Amino acid sequence: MTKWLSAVGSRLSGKTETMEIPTPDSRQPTASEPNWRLLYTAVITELALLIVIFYAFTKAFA
Amino acid sequence: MRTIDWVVLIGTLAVIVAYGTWKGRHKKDLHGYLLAGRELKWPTIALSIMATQASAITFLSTPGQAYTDGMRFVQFYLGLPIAMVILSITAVPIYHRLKIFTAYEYLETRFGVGTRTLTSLLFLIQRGLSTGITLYAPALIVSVILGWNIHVTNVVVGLLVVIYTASGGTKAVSRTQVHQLLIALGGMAIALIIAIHSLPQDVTLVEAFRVAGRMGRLNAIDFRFDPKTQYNFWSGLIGGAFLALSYFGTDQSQVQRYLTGSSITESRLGLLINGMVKVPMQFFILFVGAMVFVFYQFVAPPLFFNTVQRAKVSTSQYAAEYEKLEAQHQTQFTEKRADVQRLLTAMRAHDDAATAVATTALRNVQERETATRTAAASLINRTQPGADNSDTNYIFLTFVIDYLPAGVVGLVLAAIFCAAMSATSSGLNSLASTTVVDIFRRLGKPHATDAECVRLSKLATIAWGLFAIAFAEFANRLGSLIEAVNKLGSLFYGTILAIFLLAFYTKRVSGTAAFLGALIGEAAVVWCAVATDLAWLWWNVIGCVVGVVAALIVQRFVPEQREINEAQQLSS
Repeated sequence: MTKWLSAVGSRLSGKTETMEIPTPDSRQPTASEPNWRLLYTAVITELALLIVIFYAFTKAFA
Repeated sequence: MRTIDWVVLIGTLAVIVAYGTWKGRHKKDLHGYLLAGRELKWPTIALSIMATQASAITFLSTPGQAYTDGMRFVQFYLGLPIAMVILSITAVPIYHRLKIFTAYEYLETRFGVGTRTLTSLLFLIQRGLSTGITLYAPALIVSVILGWNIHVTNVVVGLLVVIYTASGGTKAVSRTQVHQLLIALGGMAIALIIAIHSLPQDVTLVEAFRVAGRMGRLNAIDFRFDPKTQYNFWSGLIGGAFLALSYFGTDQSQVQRYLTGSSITESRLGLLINGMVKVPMQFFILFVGAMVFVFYQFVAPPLFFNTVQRAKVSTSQYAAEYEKLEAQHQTQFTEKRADVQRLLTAMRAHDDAATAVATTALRNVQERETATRTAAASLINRTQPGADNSDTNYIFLTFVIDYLPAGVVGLVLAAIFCAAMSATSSGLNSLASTTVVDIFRRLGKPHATDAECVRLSKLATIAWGLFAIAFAEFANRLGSLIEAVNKLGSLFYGTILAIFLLAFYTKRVSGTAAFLGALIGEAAVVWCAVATDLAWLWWNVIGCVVGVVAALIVQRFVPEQREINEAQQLSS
């Protein structure tokens, strides 16, 4: 148990595992990929529409 | 429950467990067991993400929330689509290209193993407890309404989940979730149709909407800003976005769902579809509750829906007082029903003045009825101090049991248990992967073989399953369960999000600064929870903002550490 704990301790203070850290995706869409900008706009537009509809719903029946 | 209900319930659950076990067979390596071989397509990912979030609590407690408080709870989800877009742009490509098993692996590349371990442990505590609540909620409610033994229900449902989650891993979880969510939504749709169909014949759907609206049950959007109000547009959009960013971006139970995507495109589409469908889905579930509320304007509801507490108070020294409240409640119902009728007549005659008078009268009697229900709850509390005096969770199931036809009751119960099983299975699955990948393989045995890790993942799933069952046995006095589970998450999510934001967007913050920033952020959240009455959705914002700012400030005072960190990275 002590051996295991000391091994854990040495790993916690030890060297970090390394991986190449990629940056957020900045690639242009390829032919097989959806148009991401359009999709993101669609999600936000749908949210805006839902808020307007819910507000109208609230007001209409209040 | 009639025989046909038992057949439908047991048949559905047995098919789900068998299907999950069968689908997850032949997964021998860790990649296949924890990430389903990274071969899933976006429809499965989207439904799996939604099923993970939509537990039995969602289907039991949310309609009750609409019944007692109206539909404003839908605002809690308004920040979710924004979070889905942000995560699709930032987190998904990073996680995919690193080919990681857990979100916390990424943190090590940025801040070192200490921060990875701290975040993993925060996750294990929070998710371990939440999974217990996820299991406990339906067992509690079903035991109260149907008189089933809560301990047996907990253990049976818990073990069923453990069987296919441990044997089939992530693939079994994701594949079964698709069917579980469809069954759950189908059950709710049938309940809605029957609730509307059970209204008096002369009441149209639009009139039902009007009654609900006039009584404050269709209050979906409230633009007034008040930091002490739990659900309004601003807390939902801002606090909800922070909560969703943290939950979907850093909680392994969700990250693991989209890590199974065969490509970045599949994972992104899964998240975005969730962003588009989640808000309407929650609106639909709340709407079921609003219609159940309208139904109970024409059929007398019980004064208190929790039958166990009702029975206890009826045999206590407060029995006479409770009986008096029941009589008062009955009188108020008769009065309310007459007022509803008056309101309908006035609206049909397009008489605005009479409509306004009837609405005021209806709201008055509604207020008095609420006061009577509060008095009953306090009486129950006096009978048994600390008793569960919130009956929000029992309303929908009482309606199902009392008014739905044979067979449909079994289907709705199957839907509720399916939802419980789907959320529990992804909880256990993520707890097992974090335990094995971030704790065992990282700190205990770095050179463990795949076979050892798969074996340990199965054991970890079983162990966490037993922990969840044990916690479920002790969980009590949690009020509205859907609030309880989100409140518990909000204690940790802001801080975890702060760590991930520092990792994603800052280059100069060291592991020490991020670690200390996280501790300061967590202290701020605990202070808000204990010493202030700030609405809990804002805890996510506080934890995140304080965590990030504190780390940036600390960083100014620990340049040496940063240099050491950079030197370490360069040398490696």
